[in-house]
Amino acid sequence: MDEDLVLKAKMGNHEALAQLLYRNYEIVYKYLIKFVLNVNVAEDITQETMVRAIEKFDLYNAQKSKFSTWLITISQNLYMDHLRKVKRESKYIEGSITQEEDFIGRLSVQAKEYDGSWNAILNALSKLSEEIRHPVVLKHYYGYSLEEIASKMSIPLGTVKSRIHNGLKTLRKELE
Amino acid sequence: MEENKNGNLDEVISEKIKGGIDFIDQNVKIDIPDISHFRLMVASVEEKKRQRLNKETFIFMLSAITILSFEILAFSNSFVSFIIIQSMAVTLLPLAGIIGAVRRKHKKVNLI
Repeated sequence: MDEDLVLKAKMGNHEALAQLLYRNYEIVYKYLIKFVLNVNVAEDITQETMVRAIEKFDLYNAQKSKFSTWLITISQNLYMDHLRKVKRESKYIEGSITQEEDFIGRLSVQAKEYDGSWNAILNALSKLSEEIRHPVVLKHYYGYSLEEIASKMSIPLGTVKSRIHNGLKTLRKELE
Repeated sequence: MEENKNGNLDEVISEKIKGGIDFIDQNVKIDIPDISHFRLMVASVEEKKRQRLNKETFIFMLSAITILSFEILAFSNSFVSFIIIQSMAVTLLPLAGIIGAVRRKHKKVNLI
């Protein structure tokens, strides 16, 4: 179905492009929320991904990858830009609940069959900084190799190893 | 011994991470905008692309006509002036293009 829409969109059909973005919005959002644990940031980056996809749609090659994969790549790059911005601004609110902790709290409340078993790990993950949480999730959830993570994040392999090591160290401490 | 202990714990943590993130996947509430939002977005971005293209085409045409006018004037009135203008165009215009591109890149990075 996506392939048909891509063909039509490539021929200038705006409705087909809108349908493609609408159908893939959830995929991009769910990909991002796993890293950011922040509803507002995930929504912002997802929106920005949609805009960037429209701007660069001429460059999309359907032979190379699925449309959803291409969108994920764009969102990944935008997320990296977001991380660099966060690092430059280095804002951290001391002594108050962070947006990530608030997200975990609200998620626990809205879960249909909530038994509290995932609270500990999710709270521990929310305490990691985004630049550490990102490679940890890429490795331990998505199963990417260290080299693939280094390429995705455009950082040296040594930095990836160091961040994952520090991330696991913090998680171990939080879970003990 | 310590390494073994940490290695086993890391496997447990890895499993917990997978379970925790699957939990997020299954339970996160997503407010997917209505299809009309995407139609508006496509229309808006395409309009901006069209306006940008028109602007760049206009600037290109204006620059080309201006340069051509100078060239014709110089060639008809003074061959030496023509050579000077031609040499300046060949060296300065590509340089201006590179400087413009670098500035746009810096502007993009600063806006992020």
